[in-house]
This record gives sequence, C-alpha cells and structure tokens, in this order.
Amino acid sequence: MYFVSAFFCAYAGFAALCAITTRNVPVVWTTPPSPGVVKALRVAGFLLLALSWIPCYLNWDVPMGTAAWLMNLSASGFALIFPFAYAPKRSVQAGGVAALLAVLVLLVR
Amino acid sequence: MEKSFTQRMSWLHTWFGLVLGWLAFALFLTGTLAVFWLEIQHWAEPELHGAKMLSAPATVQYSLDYLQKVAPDSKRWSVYMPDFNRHPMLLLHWLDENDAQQFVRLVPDGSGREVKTVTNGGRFFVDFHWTFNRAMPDLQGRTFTWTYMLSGFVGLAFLIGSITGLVIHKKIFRNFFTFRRDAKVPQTRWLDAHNVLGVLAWPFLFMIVLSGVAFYCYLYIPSGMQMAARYPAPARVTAPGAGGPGMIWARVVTDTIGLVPGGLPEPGSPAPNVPVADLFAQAQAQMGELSGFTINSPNRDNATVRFTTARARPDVITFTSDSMTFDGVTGRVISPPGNTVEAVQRLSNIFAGIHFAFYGGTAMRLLYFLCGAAGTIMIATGLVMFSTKRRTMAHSPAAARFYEFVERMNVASVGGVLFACASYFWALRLLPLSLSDPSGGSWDVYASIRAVPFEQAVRTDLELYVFWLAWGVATVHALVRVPQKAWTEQLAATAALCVGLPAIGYLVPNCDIGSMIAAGDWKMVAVDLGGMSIGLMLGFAAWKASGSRVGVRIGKLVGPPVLSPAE
Repeated sequence: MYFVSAFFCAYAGFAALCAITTRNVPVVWTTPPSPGVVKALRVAGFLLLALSWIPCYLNWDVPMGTAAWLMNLSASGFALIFPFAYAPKRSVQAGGVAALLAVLVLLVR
Repeated sequence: MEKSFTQRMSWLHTWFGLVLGWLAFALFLTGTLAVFWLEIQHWAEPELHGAKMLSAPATVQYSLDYLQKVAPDSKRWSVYMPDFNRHPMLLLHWLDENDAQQFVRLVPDGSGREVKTVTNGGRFFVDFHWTFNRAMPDLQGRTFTWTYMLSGFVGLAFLIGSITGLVIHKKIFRNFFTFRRDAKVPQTRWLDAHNVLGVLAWPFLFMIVLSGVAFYCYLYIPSGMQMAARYPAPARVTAPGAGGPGMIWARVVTDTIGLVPGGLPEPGSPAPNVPVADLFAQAQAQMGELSGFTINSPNRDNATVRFTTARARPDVITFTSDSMTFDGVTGRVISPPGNTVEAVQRLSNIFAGIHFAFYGGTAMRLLYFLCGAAGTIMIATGLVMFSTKRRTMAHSPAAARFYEFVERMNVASVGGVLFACASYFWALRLLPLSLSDPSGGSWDVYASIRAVPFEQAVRTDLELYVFWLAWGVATVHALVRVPQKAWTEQLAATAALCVGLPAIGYLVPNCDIGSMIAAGDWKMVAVDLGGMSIGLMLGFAAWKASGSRVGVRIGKLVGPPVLSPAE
C-alpha cells in the first residue's frame, strides 16, 4: 500500500506548486498570497515531490522504486491537472487532504 | 527567409508526428494493452477462470505424478510452472516412445482438467506492438518480418518527436499546470491537452520508446536481420521446448528449459530417483523464482534434473537467465547456478526488462498502463490538433483536399484501431472454443496473420481476421463519412463494445463476472471492469465529439483560395 501514499504525497506537492503558478493565482486565491506564503508553498511542493520517492523506495527498493517514482509523478500530475480545469479550488484544497492521507496510509501500513 | 531553429524543429515535429503518428497510435495503444497481456490471456481462456490453484510445491508433485502416469518411459519430461499471479496455466512436455514432442496444458488445480482453448489472447497485442502481425516469407521461404523495421522507425521518429516537442514548447514551466478547457479557439484546448500529457509523461515516454528501440537494436543491422530471418522455427512443435502455446512466452523463458547441453542421452537402467520436489525447493532457495525444470532420463540411473529461472522476474528490473543441474539419483549438484552473460546481452536484458514491465507487480504495471495511456492520448490529440489548426488555413483547394484526407485518416487510425481492438476482445469471448486448433496451435515468435482457406481457419486465425476486418470497415467508414460523424460513431461503437464486455461473459460458460467475483478471480474481473471503464471514457469522448467542433466539414469553411501578397 506504500505506493498509494506516494501517489497522495506527489499530488499534494503538485497542488502546492499549482496554487502559486502565476496563471493560476487569480483562480485559486481570493486575495493574492504574500511572498512568504508563495515561497513556503514552493518549498513544500518540491519537498513533497521529492519525499514521494520514499514510499516508492519502501515499496520497491531503489532501482524499481525510482522508476515507479517517475511514473507516479506523471500519474499524480494528471490526477491534479485535468480536474483542476473543472474545479480549481477544490482540486488544490484536496492537496491538503492528500498530504494527510499520505501520512495516514504510511502509518496504517 | 531563413527559418529559426525553433521553426525548423516545429516543422520536424509536425510532419514526423503526423505521418508516423497514425502508426504510432496503433503501436502505443497495443503496447499499453500489452502491459496486461498475461491477464488478458487469462481472461481469454475460460478453463482457467476461478480455479482453485495448488501451491507451487504441490504443483511440482502433481506434474510429476501426471508425467509418471502418461509417459513413465519417456526420455525427457519438461514442466513449465504456472505464473500463479497472472496466468496460472501449467504446461507439461514429454517425449513419447518415438521421441516426438507431446504436450498438455493443464489447469493447476489438481483436477487434471485441460485448457483446450487455443487463442492469441493478450499475446496478440505484444506481437502487434512490434510486428503489426505481418510475417512475410523471404527468398529462402523462411519467415521474415520486415514490419519490425517499420515499428523501429516509428520508435525513432517518436524519440525525435519527444525531443523536438520539448524544443518547440513555449513556456514549459509557466504553462505546466495549464489546461484551458474553455478556450475559445479549439486548437488551444487540444494544444494544452497535448502539452500536459506530453510534458508530464515525458520521462516515461522517452524511457519506454528508447528501451523499446534499444533492446532490439541489433535487429536493425544486416547480421541481426539475417538472424531474425532464421529465428522463428518453421516446423510446429518439433524443436524441444519451442512448441506448445502459452507458457513459453508467458514467462519469456525462451527455449532454455528443453535444451540440455550435450543433447539427449540414451536412458540408463531403471533406478529410484530422489524426490524432485525437494530439489525444486533447493534450487528455488538458491536462484529465486523458477520458471520450470527438465528431467532427462527420468526413473533411470543417469537421470539429471535442470531447473531454470524465469527470464522476467518480479523482483528485478533486468531480464535474467540462470539454471542449475542436479544428479537425479544422488541429488548432487552437477552444475551450480552462476550464468555469466556478455556485456551487450546484459545491456539488452536491462532495456528489455524496462520495456516489458514484468517487474514490480500489479501496481507498477498500473503505472505503466496509465503513462502508456497518456502517451496514446497525447498522440491522438496531436493528430487532431494538426487538423484543427489547419482546417481554416487551407490556401488552395488542393490543400483543403489534403487536410480533409488527413482528418479522415485520423479517424481511421485513431477511431479505427480502437474499434478493432474492442472487436478483437469480443472475438476472444464469443468465437466458439471448439474452433480451437486441434493440434494445440503453434506459438512461434511471431503470431502472424495467415492466408488460409476459410474452412481451414482455426480460432487463432479468425480472431486476427476479426481485428483486421474491423479496422478495414472502420477505415472505409472514415473515408466515406463526414469526419465529425465518423468520429462520433466510431467512438460510440467502441464505447458500446467495451461497456458490453462484462455482459457478453454471461453468454459463455465460466466467464460471467458475477460468479468470478464470488470465486475471487480478480484477474479476470479486472479485465472486464477495466474494459468497461475505458468504454465509459470513450463514451464521454464520443459525446463530446458529437457536439464539438472536432470535425466540421472542411469544404464548408474553405472559401476561394486566398493568395499571399507575394503571389
């Protein structure tokens, strides 16, 4: 089940980055985020994308885990971007839930 | 005027993408389905559905008991172990009193039931994916497929497309999360979808195409081509280990099990042998998962037992091949494992391992499937975009005719191959099992379409006929119908076929999804439900196509040719 955690983790990372992309800021935020928030979200986003390697590693070990990590980035990206076109705020907010779920799945496992 | 680098790359991307995209779509679609080809094979063989499997050691013992009963005096027994997780079929080979190869395919539940269905199953997608199911005799009458050259060329073009695509993509990072579904210009929507799919799946796409081209790279040079021409055994079920449908390719074991160094020894005098099940456990402890074993001179004083590992294993990416041999009387190890392979072969094994996706279990294959599907859809969006962009730009009647032809070809190559694949699944389910090849079928390296009189055609032939006939009908339909209607109708027909997959299971014994859920055969259920979900998505696509401007008739939009100032 580790790979489920990897999926949620990468989704959360993409959601954080998506929220601060210039084009998306007016769609996601009612008031524009402060530079501090933008920076925090950028760091958190890349960090979560990188962290999603760990559950892949736990599931598959290094070589297979790395292959799975790359494909998982693609899959979770699709899971964000296409729904984002229909419900931008919800898709980004789901990123927060996804981050919690990622931890939860790791703990339950 | 001198063109910029980006413009040149754009030209390359557009025209390589268009001409080879028609073929690339078919290759990508079948390749994506081929990720689960063993599950589809299982789905296509009703005898295996819902069977309660024996454990691996029990299967070994059962195989030996079976062979002891049917061929106690045989010079050689071979056992190909079932792949319990994906395609649980047990294949037993033995030499009869005339030293001719005999085989039986069994359900590994201990009942002795045979798998009588001979089908291309999911294997079809694997073969189509690189040979288009075409085999041609060369001048010496040997089978020589030239079509793998074509698929290799498409692969190279795809690599060019993936690199030029990155070069010409404006603002990759700024538009990383951009999919403007409401954009006024339809082309923008298609472009966004194309970009999102291509950029996000880029690492996968590059890796899968590179590994696909690279692991057969020796086939693209003359000496390799000569090897390929000799490769498929023309005779049926004669070479040791080469005949018998199913398990050989199932584990990608090639023919190493049946081939024992030194040829076939003369049988010695009768003598008790050590229990092979114990040797099996020993070999498995040393080498990992085994694909099978061969016993030379069973029940004799010169008996030897050779165990072989699976070529493709779930625990490592690279393909492997190893074996160890025991003395059948004393149980002594004659040759330990430790096969060394040449550097080139090792490299080829790694590329093959990456490409074939046997490693990592179902979750990994699901990722391969999703990313492959993304690539497939990306190609389709690219093709559609070509038409959408140009249909209003035709500068002459000839150009307008060309663009209309392109649009029809898009329908034939995208809608047509989807329809053909869905029809093929129906053929797998509905063609009578009694049409199966009574000889058990031949499983050469290429399962290719044959031209035989209709009354001689066996089930495997008919399955392929259905596929090609469906594609032919779809092509004709695409050429005569207004493109927008053709899109809608072909997508809707494919959707209906896919959604209907679980339903037609009820027409054939042992294939209904209800009792398979009850029996816990999730492999079979997953293929049914997966087909149904794909059908629902295609239905959505058909609905969108019916109302959108995907295929407005070009002729209506093109006015008198607009001459540029220079003219």
